Amino acid sequence: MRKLSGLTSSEGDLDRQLSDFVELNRRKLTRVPYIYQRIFRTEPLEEERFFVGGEEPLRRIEESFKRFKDGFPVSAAIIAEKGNGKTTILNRTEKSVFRGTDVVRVEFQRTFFAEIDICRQFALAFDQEPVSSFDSLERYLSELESKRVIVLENIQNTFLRTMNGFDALEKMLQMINRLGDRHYWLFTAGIYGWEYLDRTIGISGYFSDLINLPSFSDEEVRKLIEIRHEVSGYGLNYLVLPGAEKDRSYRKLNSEEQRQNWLATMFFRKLAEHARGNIKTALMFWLSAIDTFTDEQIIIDPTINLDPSFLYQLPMEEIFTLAAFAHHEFLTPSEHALVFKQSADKSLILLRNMHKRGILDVVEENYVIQPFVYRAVIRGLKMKNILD
Amino acid sequence: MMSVLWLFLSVEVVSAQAAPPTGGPSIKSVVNNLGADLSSQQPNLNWHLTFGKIFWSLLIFLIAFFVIKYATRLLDAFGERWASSRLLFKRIIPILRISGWAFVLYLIIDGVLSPPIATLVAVTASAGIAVGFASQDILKNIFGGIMILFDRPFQVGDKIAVGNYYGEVVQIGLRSVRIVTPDDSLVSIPNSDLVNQAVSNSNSGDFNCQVVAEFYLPANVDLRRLKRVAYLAAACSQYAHIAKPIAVVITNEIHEGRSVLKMRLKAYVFDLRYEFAFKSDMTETVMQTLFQEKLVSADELSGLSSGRSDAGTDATRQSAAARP
Repeated sequence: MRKLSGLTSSEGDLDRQLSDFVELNRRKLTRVPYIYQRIFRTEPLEEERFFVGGEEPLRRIEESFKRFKDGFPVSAAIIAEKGNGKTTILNRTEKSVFRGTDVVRVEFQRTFFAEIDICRQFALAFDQEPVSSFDSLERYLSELESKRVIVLENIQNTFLRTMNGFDALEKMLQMINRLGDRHYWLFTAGIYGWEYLDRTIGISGYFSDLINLPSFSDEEVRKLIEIRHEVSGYGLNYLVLPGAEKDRSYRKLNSEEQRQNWLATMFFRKLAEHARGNIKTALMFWLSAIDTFTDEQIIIDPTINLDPSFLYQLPMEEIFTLAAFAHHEFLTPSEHALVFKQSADKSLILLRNMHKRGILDVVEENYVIQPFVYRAVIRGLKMKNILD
Repeated sequence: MMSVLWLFLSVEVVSAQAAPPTGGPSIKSVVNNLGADLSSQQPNLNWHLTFGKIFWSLLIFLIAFFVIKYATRLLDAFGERWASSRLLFKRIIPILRISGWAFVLYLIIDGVLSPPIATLVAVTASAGIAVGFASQDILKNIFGGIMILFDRPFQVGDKIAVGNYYGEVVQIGLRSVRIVTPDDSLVSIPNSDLVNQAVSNSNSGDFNCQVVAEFYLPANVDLRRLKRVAYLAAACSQYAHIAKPIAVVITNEIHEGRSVLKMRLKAYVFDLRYEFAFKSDMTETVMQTLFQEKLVSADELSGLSSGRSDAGTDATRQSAAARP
């Protein structure tokens, strides 16, 4: 009751728990067989055999593309939570629906909010000299000989939550609106950034098709993991949970197979609580649960020693920072400083502190929410009424 | 009463003597039966307030005090954990307190002390008369508190304005309602005052409330850009509850013979505890951006509030021009 209510102090051990957990898993991962790591990598899928679901979004993209080919101006957006398969769907679409069409992918893998930086990303994707304005870019795109499929990935990374941070994105959307019948535009966006943009600049109004990818169900998550594991060729063994032998339902089981199924069910139930339908988080927890391995078997420790409840007691400064990360995904200390109207030094200290405690991860000076706690952070922000 | 009974008995005896023998019960048996009845209805003069009863009453009281205190703390903690249900948890607290103490009082009186009913009636009657005379105002407040609990013009967690006071309701008691003002002062407002005057409720049980920031601006400001600045100032704030609409309302007013624009920026804060932080953030961002984008100047803004000083400056210039 004390833990549930938060009366238990979250200082000290609980606070360090996450950073210890992350560090332990980083070290564990280096010892997992390379082939197994490749099968369970959290990058977007290329292999068809690992796909689960996704037929409905593919069908809708196909319909939308057909309307474009019939001469209608069309722009579509795929919206989903981070790590829930947007890029995977794009990869499948490129191989199926867009087969035979020129596809150009413009990626925004960190925050770009200046017009010149966004134009540079376009130039990289088209393998052209960079231009400095959307007017020049629009001229170039309208003069292209053939119609293209232009995919803009992670559109939530093209704004900054400041007074002038939406200007470039709005200009780009207006340009795309004018070129809607010239090229087929397909965006992907993180759901929380998209919802924020929709409420501030009405981004939905620029699109004819919005395709929302739902979170995976617990059964789908389990199926996804089991399919990948079967491909690896390794056997699977679950260690006995502490306290399982006291459980009446466990003691009633007669065969080892039944007991393993019981342990598997208990493990996936716990996994579902942590992952909450996010496949990337689920895969990371699966890898973190590997205790040992032999030449034939992977041995899973079903206890997940991570208690994210300390997130609910963070100071408001850090809660607001996590909310900013939910919208933006990537932020450097200077961008964080602009969002919160404070000095870059203060932002740097705050972000480094959160990184040390394992709440944030850092990728080439860009901070992101630690994937292990992503779902817990989102849940915490919703409980605080900051996200809907 | 005893004399009445004895009178009745005598009448019975006389009538029994006067009546011809009919084969019914004898006088002696009637008297004996009446005596037995009277004995069984005698007040119990053996009840005492013993040390044991006092001890157990105090013990139950202490246990109840800590249990209710812990339960209140638990509900508060749940409210902090699940912020969107915070108001619901806070509302349960006064109900828990009142019902808890009522139950404890009943337990002590009926279970531990167990006074005879006559004693209880006598004590409460005499105490009631004295207390009633002495505490008319308190009773008014108590009844006011009960009306507030039933009528619910506001609840714990709501932000209300009563008379000159504005603040968050932190406790609804039987005697008074306590609110915490923005200056962190705890104000106790007697319930009888609350039921007799208008109470303005900012959020009516909702977790977020609308915050309004007002600006007075020169009439010649670029309205399109002004509205965009205002809207984004609210939307970019970390305190904004973006799911609810942001509105920019502009009206024209006359101040000291001069036309000025009054802009009201209305947006919702995600947690009403941050109402003033949000208002401050919006105001700071709007003013800073207006200056940076040169939509207004400091001279223009100071001119809005210095009608008199302008007149003074004009008079000085005229008199200086008139001098040779």
